[in-house]
Amino acid sequence: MTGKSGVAISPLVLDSIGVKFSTKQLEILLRIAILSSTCLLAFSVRLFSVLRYESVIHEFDPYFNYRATLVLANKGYYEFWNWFDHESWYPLGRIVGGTVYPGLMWTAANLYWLLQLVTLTASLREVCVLTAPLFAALTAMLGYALGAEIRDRQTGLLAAALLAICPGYISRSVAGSFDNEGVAIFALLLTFYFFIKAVNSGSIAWSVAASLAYFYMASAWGGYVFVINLVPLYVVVMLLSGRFSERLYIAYSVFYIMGMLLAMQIRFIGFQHVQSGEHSMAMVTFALLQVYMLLAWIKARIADPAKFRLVMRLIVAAAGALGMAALGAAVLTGKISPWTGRFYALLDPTFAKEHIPIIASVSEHQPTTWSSFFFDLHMLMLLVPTGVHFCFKRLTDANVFLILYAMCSFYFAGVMVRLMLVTAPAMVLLSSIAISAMLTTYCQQLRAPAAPAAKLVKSGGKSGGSAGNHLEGQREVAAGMTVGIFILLSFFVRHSTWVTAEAYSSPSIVLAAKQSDGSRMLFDDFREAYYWLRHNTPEDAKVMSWWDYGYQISVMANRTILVDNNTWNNTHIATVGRALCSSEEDAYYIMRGLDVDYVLVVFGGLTGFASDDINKFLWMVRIGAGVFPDIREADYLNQGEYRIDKEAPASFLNSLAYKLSFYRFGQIMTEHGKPTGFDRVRNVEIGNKDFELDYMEEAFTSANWIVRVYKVKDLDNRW
Amino acid sequence: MKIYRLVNAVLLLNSLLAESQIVNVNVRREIDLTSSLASHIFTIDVENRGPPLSSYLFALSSNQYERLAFIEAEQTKGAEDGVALEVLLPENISSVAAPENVSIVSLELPKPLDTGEKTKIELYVVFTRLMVPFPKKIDQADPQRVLYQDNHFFLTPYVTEQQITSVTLPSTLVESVSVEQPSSRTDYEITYGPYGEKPAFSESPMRLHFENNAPFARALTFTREIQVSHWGNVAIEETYLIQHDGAKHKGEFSRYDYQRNAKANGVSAFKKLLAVLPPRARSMYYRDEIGNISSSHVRHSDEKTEMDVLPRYPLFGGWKIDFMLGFSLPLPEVLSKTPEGRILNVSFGPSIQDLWADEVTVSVVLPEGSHSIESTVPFAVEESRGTKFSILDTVGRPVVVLKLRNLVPDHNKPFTVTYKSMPLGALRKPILLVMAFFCFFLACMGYLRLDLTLAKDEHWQAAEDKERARDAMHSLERAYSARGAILKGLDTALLKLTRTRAVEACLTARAGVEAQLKATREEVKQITDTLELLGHKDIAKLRELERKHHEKQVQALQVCALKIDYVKKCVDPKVMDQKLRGGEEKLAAVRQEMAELLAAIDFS
Repeated sequence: MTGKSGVAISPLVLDSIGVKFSTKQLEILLRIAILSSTCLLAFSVRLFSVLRYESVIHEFDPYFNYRATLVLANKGYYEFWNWFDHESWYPLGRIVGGTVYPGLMWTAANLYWLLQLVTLTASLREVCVLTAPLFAALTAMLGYALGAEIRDRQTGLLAAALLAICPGYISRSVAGSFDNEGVAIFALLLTFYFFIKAVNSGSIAWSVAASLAYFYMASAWGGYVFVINLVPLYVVVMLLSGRFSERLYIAYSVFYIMGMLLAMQIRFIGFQHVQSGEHSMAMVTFALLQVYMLLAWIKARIADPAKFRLVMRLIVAAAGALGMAALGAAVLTGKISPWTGRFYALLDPTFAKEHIPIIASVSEHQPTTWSSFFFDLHMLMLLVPTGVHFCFKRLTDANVFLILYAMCSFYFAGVMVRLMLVTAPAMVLLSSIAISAMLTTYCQQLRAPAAPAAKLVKSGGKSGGSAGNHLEGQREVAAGMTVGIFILLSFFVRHSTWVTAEAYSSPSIVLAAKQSDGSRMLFDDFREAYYWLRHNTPEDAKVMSWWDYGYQISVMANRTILVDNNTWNNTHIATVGRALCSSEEDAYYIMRGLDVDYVLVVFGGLTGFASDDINKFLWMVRIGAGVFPDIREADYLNQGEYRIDKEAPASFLNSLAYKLSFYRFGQIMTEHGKPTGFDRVRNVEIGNKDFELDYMEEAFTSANWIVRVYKVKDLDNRW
Repeated sequence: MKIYRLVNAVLLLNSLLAESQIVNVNVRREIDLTSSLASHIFTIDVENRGPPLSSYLFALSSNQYERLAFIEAEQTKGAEDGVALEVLLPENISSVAAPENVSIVSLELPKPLDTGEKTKIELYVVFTRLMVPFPKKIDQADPQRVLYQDNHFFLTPYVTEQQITSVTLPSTLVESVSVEQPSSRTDYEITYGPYGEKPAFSESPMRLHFENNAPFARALTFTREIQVSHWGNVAIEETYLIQHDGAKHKGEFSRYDYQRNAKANGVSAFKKLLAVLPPRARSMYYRDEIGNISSSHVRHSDEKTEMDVLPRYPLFGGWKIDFMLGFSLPLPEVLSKTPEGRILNVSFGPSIQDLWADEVTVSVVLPEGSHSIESTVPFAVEESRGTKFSILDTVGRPVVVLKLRNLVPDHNKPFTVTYKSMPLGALRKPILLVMAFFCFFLACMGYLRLDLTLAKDEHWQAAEDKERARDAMHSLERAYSARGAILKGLDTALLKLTRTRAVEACLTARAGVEAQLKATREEVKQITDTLELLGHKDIAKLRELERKHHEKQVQALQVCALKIDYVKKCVDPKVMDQKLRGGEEKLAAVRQEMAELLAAIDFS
């Protein structure tokens, strides 16, 4: 849009100041100007979090990534590769080097080293905080490249601008959100871009580039599985719709073989890439392509159709039998693993709820609501169908890919909130195609000189609507539509800015609340308690907490933890869940057995912070019950109802989580006109007020009681 | 064996001292125990009854000497200002021996004390950790009690004729007090003495056990980095690792009790420290390893900037915390320029008040290229040099590192660093950056002018032709709009003519327009020829358009000529309009045809 009208206006402006450009130079100049300002925009819109809060790592997973990057930057690749972390999952430990997607850490550490090299001495934390915005800017550039490849440069420019500020993508790439997705979306789009290039050109060079990009993607995020399933799906669809070409054959064969070999170099993936069910579609498609090409080759050499049909049947039967035999053998010998729970959960939205509580308990794994679709995509939701329409109107190989990508990712976004991120670029591309197509049409009509009224009626009468150029009131409609699109785009900008500033910039380790006088109040309880642990407990102290806080404790408190957000060992988490929902005495035996020194609980009853351990309690019970059948959810419910007042069952009122959360809370007056011990999250007076702890003692409670730390007492002296 | 050695040492010392025969005529000792530090002020009247001597010896018990943080001595004569005395610590004294548990400090007098001469010496001594928490561990609700042990008598290698000691306590809650008659006690003060003549090294153990809830803030490490930029800023960053050095906290910490009544439940804890910064301090920050600490308040006044530093959590006995405190100062505040070089004058730190520190490192980072660096500190420090690399440094910035053990608030005095800077040193980095960008742009320019095409095949030719065609079309557009402007000039000339009837002026204008139009016609012709050569698809239409243009111009010029003619002949305007109408209509028709043609041509 900007590109087109800009070219028309600027020559006169530049002429008037005496600068002469050739059209090409002018276009390059404009393009560079637009793209660099888009880069700047993409980067700076993500700095809201730094402005409104501070330059700090956000949330949970980014803390682990930061810790891993610290190890990599300080000790080098080799140590990182072999890193065994004995400070988490006590007493099991975790082989981090082999269970991590290292792409993000490589990226950040290399950026850090590069900056050191050019003597820009930024601290590693700053580099980590700004990695995501930097990659968002690069992703915007990829949006341009993709748009230009799929349709034209105008579309590309628009796609870049929209991608820069699309809330669905911003949600995971604000400054401080140092997570895999930050670089993975870039890698994802890079892979797609190179692959589309390869399909369009049939060049091996581009497919090699695509497989390298795929390697980066596979090193950065588990979402690479999406790529390795989408690309074969695309190939199959192309095959079925009769758009198959040798270009596609070259592109896919090279991409699959090289990409597979490269991805297998990542320790966390390894042989899974050929063995696991999630990757099998790519392999089957590869085999299918070979058979298809063989048939095509033979067909070119056998003139008689009847003979060819015979040969074809033979080959198909042989290939099918061979394939089935191989598959059967592989399954029987256990070489091919079935699909993992996570994969099932993706395909079937109800699967996790019934079978894997640990996945269902995470809020970012919940199905997406319509409101959050609108929140994250805004007007893109309206424009996507139009974009699909325009794609179908001028169907190309690249268009088909885009449509498939959009459909699949949209389905997944509906299953899990966090996958909104994957679908956002597709939505942006489709919308920019729609806007660009509409604007191109309308602007042409606007630019066409107005014919005099007398003539207009004549020609209109003569040729009817077929001329297109000479409809009555057409210019007005075009002007109206252009203004309309402009307004729509401005609303999108407003919405994105607002969403970024208000919703996606909170680091979630600092909580902000509005006070009655309108000023902002900060609750810094998490860091207060973590820092207390860091400085005032023995260095080898083991801290037990629910797994959500594991990563944060290991970085900010620098203490050994039992379970963390990696959730690789369900049994261990279930044991912690069991301790938290047992009585104090039973829990004491479990904790002594696990060598626990401190227990940390999160409690929001005083401040009204809703995501505390009491609200997560049922998940502890469910996850515990998944491993220890003697735990029954019904024991903690009063006739199917979860409550914390006097009506709650005794097993809940005496559970460790309850006691540690509400210890001495019964003496506090939280709100006027309410009894003491009034919980402000659940809005009810607690049921068990007056109790002492026998096996634990309060070691620290933060200023607003959000984090409470208890020390597990030693055994009594025997005499 | 031990006794023998002790006796031997005392004998040796006595024999040394026997020659000196200095007498402390009157000693006044004030011991201040109100904070976490113990400070002593001595006022000693000295008389030399032996041969002239140039040094006065001052004794400290080994226990005290280990905890000695700061010592300052002055010699005063009458009402005159005192003369600071050089203090030699035991490591630097070779000739004096003393009993085993006594350390001797020597004060060097500027002028030897003659026989029979009297003088007055004032001493100010500060000790850390001299008050020991007792009991060592307390509950949250307990107050903190400390034990202070000293000597009732002034410990000295000389005979003391008369002495008096007063001790100030922080509270009236006293557990026990040792007594050596005569002594007296009021609420906050205990007076020992006056005592009569006592021999050298007289001892009588003093033991005070009382409540002291002053913040026992001890920095295990304290570093202060002062970074000078000649662009107008001095950045100061202090890092602290602070421990509550009082009685250790034991048992439960109940936030409920602490919030309900912090005075009754946690009287020994402290939750606030006060930092005093220079008045023009700006861009302050207060953070630690895991981010910003959101609890601090700043008050500005003319003399100072006060900052309430609230650690993340209140500190109970034995608890530790670390943090960073930073601020900037405008350069002229601390740096002065003299012909000999630049002089930096800043305080040694720490900004946080009432705190003592074990390991102290103060470093001054000077701009790159500084040389002839010298530092002057008013007390003894260990000095070394280093280099620091910061943003865009090539050879590194010189760093002056000053180290000290046992720092007390009395060390917070200004010190100076003088150095010379490189001419144009401040411009070094901008020039570097300008050069880098210049090279980048140069490379870009080179690249854009470079034709890397290996073989100019038909694809290349086609792309090139297309590009040239686009270029030509845009020039054409420009030429057309220029032409429109020229014709508009004709209209204005005519308008002027009808108003002013200045025929001559109009004729010249018309001639000018004609010439200009001819020039554009040439230009358009050239462009159209190029387009024809490139095989543009709309070339026929363009030619047609150009013909129409010409027609329009001829018509317009003709109308103009006619009009001039009519004006010259003073024809009635109405008649004139009528006569001109035919020409005008023709012009309009041509315009209409041109518009249609234009719409059919693709200019993109």
